[in-house]
Amino acid sequence: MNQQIPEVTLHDGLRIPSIGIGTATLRGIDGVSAISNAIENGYRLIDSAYNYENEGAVGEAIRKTSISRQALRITSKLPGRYHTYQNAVKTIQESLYRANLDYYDLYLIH
Amino acid sequence: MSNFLPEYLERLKKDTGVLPTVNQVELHPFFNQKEQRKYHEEHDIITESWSPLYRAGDIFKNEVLQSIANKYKKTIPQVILRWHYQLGAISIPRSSSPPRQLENISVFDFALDYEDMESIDKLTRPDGRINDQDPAVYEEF
Repeated sequence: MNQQIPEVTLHDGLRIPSIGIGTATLRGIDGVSAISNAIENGYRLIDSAYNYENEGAVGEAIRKTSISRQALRITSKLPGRYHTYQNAVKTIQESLYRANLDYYDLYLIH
Repeated sequence: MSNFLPEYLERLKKDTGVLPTVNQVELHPFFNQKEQRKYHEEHDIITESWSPLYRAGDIFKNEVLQSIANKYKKTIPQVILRWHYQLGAISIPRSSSPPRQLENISVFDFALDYEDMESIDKLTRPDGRINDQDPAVYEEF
């Protein structure tokens, strides 16, 4: 079964679904399974954070499904302790390495 | 952005000339963020709701929500997520259970009427935050 979720357009033109899957505490292999199930069930927006320590599970879940990266909207977040410019750049790079992704669609200041 | 109060957003606009596309804030029927949402609307910022289901706590026993759920033959989580949708907010409910994941997105085949929206609006209270995480004093470190 697969549900269609209506989208919203942000002021920069990016379209994102009205409902996404929250992932705090979804980590490791159970996290991968929960997140990939959500994608198979129709979710296209995935909300993660550096501090959830599950960007790896998010990336793995994406690779396990047949949905293309372009069809997904992936969010992560910059922790308060890394808000300076240099730290922010390194943390975003680290977030990408952890997920093994080329980009995030949204990266929020946590 | 996440947890940015209107005064932080004003400072950001003043210092950089830009505003974020989204701001993710604590939002659920017990804390409806009316003022924050009004600011977002006026500035073309989309509201994202974290803990949209109040972490599945006492809210699932709420009588007002239960009677609305009965009226539409939906569950309380579905009524709450539909309420977020009708407010124009993006919700991000967490669930590791596939049936519940499906339940949480099966909310686009019914609509709450004005009275239902008003009844849910009245459930909000000043101390309605889950862990008292007021962004004025709390930092996600």
